[in-house]
Amino acid sequence: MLLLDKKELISKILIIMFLITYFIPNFNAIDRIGNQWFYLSIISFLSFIYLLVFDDLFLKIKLILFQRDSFLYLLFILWALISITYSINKAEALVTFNQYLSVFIFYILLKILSQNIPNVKGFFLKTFLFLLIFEVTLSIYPILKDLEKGEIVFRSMNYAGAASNINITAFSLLYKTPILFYFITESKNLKKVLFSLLLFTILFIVSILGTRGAYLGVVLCFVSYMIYIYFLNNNARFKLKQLSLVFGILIISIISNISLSEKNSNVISRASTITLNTQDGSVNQRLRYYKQGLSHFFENPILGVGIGNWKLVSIDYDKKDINGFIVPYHAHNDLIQLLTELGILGLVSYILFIIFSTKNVFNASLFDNKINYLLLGSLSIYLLDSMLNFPIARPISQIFLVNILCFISLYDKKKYD
Amino acid sequence: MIKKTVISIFFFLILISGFLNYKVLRSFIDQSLLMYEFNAYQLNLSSDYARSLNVDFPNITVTTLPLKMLKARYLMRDSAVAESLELFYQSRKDNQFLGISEFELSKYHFNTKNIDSALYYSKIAFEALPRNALLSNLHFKVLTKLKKDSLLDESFNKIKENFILEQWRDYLFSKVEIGKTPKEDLIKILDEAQGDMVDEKQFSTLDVIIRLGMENLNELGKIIIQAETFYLQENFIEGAVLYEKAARLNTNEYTHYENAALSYYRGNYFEEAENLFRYTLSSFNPQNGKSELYLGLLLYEKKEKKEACKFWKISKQKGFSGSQRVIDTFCK
Repeated sequence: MLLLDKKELISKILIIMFLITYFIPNFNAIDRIGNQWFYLSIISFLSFIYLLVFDDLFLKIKLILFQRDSFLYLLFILWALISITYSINKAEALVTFNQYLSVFIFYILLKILSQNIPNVKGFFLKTFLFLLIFEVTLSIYPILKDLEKGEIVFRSMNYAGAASNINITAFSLLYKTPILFYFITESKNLKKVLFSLLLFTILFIVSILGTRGAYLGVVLCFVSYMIYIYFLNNNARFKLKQLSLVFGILIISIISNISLSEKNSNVISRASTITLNTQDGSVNQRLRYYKQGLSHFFENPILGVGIGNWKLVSIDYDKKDINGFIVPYHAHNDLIQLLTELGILGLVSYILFIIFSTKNVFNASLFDNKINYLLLGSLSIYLLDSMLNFPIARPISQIFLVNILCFISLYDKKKYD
Repeated sequence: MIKKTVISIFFFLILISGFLNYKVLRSFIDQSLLMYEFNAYQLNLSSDYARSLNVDFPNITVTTLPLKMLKARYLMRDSAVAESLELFYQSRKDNQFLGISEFELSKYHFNTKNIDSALYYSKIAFEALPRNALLSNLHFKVLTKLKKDSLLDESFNKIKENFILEQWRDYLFSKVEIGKTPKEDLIKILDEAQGDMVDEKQFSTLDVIIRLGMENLNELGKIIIQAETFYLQENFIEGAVLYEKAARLNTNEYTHYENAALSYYRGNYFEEAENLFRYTLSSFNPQNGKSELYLGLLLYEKKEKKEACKFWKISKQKGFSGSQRVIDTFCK
């Protein structure tokens, strides 16, 4: 009994150590993803040693690798490895390949570690919630300090929290917001008030950060919540009460933003610029990147340019629009980026991996508490982010994705019972 | 047996992956200094540090600049020419699309009067990033030295529609220096430039030079051309002194003060540079954001990060390219 408790405790500690990658300090690196990837490797190594000594690692690796999702990810990794041989810059291909490999190792280890925790679903949900609280604290603290001075700065980098980038922070908060909806609905009295306050704070931060993609993410959050409430309970009064609460919080956060910001730099003026209008610099730039990526794909549909090498080849495509030495670096759409780097095979294996890891979420009968609709909301927000930005290159986004996929797989009784 | 093999493979994968991630992290820490100096036109890192840099894995920075090229700049500073050239040549393979290695090679050949090689590399660099004023400036300079007027026109025609002020100004300076184009044609180009640029004041010196003609150039024009030459040869202090002289002769033209400040800055005379940047901003308040960016870099070097970020933000508001990058990198 004692041994089992220890196993559970250490597994929980290791999972939490993986999840706090987000909060690793910068150590003077030019980009904090360097520290995050390395930290992920250290925790992977520790987890491996622990599982090797105290668990039946071989059996569990074997079981997990024979699951369809892991096998597809392995195929994707192998194809990425092969692509190094024809990449223009092999060192850069290896750098990027190693990032995908780190995620794959983490995916396997997380699945094994989670099997050692009896109430693993509750553990995951609570961990997401605590992470969310920490993230919110890091962003709201500088906002409150500025509020005290009476000068909130719309889209200020000071509010970026641990991610050091307002767009990443906004999406990172939203990834986890559907989970918060679950806690709001399930809790009562004081807890309900506190969770509602947390939701208000998140929406207020997101509105101040002014990331337009994240505004669309807020819409997805609320749509997933409406679907969740619709299926959760047949009581119309209950539905109305819950929806009134969260929509009320949304309205209050928008009003707070408008009243505390200047006229031309608030959530409404920013949201009104969400359009496919090619006069908008940011939209125009993304559309250009997509077009360049797709035209490269049509010229090289099978092999692609090799993993991690689109950042080089894209310079040639975008050279007429590059100012100084500021290159595109990412396609700003993960799927297009995979197409350009690994061709159709790379994309298909990645998409199949995502489909097979998430297919359970569409089977409501597996989820006794209907939480699948909220998880679907989280996944949709990740998908939105990956259509507009490059979460595939960010450790914190990948850690979230892997956690959600692992959490969903826990509901697959065939695999875990 | 299978069990041992699977466990061993997994173990080595984790070890290798961790080692590669460590190498990337070490490089990211070095890149923080290298990129700062590159953006700030500085070469202050010690020789020992530069020599110790790992530039093979990864071999490009987070902005795709080849690391071998960045290292070679320091070796060139320390007169390790052969080693430096070798790294410049190797760095071309690491990123063949950026043109920066070719730019450095062209600069080297230009300074060593090997003009044909300088032209070969400057053309590649110019065609790699046609909107980059640094690359076009050198290409035009090489063409000017070779008096290749038609090639200069041909190159300029590829970029003229971008209406990048520095490129138009460099082109006109080159045309004046080559001296094959009639004055009337130059005035026509100048009028076109002034009509399409937001900040037409930037052309006031050129306007004087073109309308007066090179042969009738007054002292001011000669000083400016000499200052530009010094600057391009990286004789920054001599360049700064001449720009200051030009500013005293034409006190209404802010670019003389700004150029003097920039030259002092690149020559590591920070106090003079800061005074001149601040004077430019307080007396003229130029709207292109350039002075704010460089003043910010200077202040950052003086460890005044908060003040630096303040100026970079103003530079960004004025739309100066590159300001967003320094804010993202240094104002965390």
